[in-house]
Amino acid sequence: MAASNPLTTHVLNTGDGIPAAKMAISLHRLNSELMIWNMLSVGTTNEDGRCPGLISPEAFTSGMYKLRFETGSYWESLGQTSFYPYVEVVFTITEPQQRFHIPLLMSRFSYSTYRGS
Amino acid sequence: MSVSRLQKLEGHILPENKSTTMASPLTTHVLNTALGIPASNMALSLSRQDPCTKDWTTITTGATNDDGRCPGLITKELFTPGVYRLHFETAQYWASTGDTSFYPYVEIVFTINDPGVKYHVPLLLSRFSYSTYRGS
Repeated sequence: MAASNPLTTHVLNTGDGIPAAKMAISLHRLNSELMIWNMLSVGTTNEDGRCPGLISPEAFTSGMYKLRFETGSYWESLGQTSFYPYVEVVFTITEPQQRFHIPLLMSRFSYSTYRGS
Repeated sequence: MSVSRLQKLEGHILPENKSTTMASPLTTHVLNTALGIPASNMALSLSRQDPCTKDWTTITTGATNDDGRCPGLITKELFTPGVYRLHFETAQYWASTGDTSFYPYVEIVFTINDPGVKYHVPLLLSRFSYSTYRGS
């Protein structure tokens, strides 16, 4: 049975020690025949830096995905510059019945991501 | 020997650490944090984005050496302000060690405003995580 909310993210502003709220993010899947990215959803992180409902269990199939975080715009909205205009995390899903949590810990001059739970 | 002759001779002698071009103003360092070793023989490329068309142009392709570094990424002359991208063939690297990886590749996109300073963009990597920062 497919997991509800199979793909989640959590964006943390490690520079200030707070969730990164109101950051625009988008989820894309690679069409491997045409080798182009199809945008599946767009959203904005909530006050807790999360963005529920990125993809439904039915739509979550095996493939290559990309989460794009508009980090540059986020820092700009705080009146600051950043080294990275945006962050894209590209990952491969081979078992879509599992849950995947892909956080982004970021500051103006660094970021990290990992497969969480 | 005259001073000017001596200076001319000095100009022909390359310092020990100088390659055919001066050290790249942009460097990287890839570390396999799962094993605590440099990630050697990882293919990578450096590209610059055209500010108008947003198209990417490849500047350099290469691979990391035994120390996980890739000298000579770009020359000082080519290193102009703009948006750059380092692309790392991470899954290929893990496959060469007989492992799978969550990330087929890693791309780090960054903005260079002042090409007169040095930029170090390392990648700390495991099969299921990675991080990067602006270093020195």
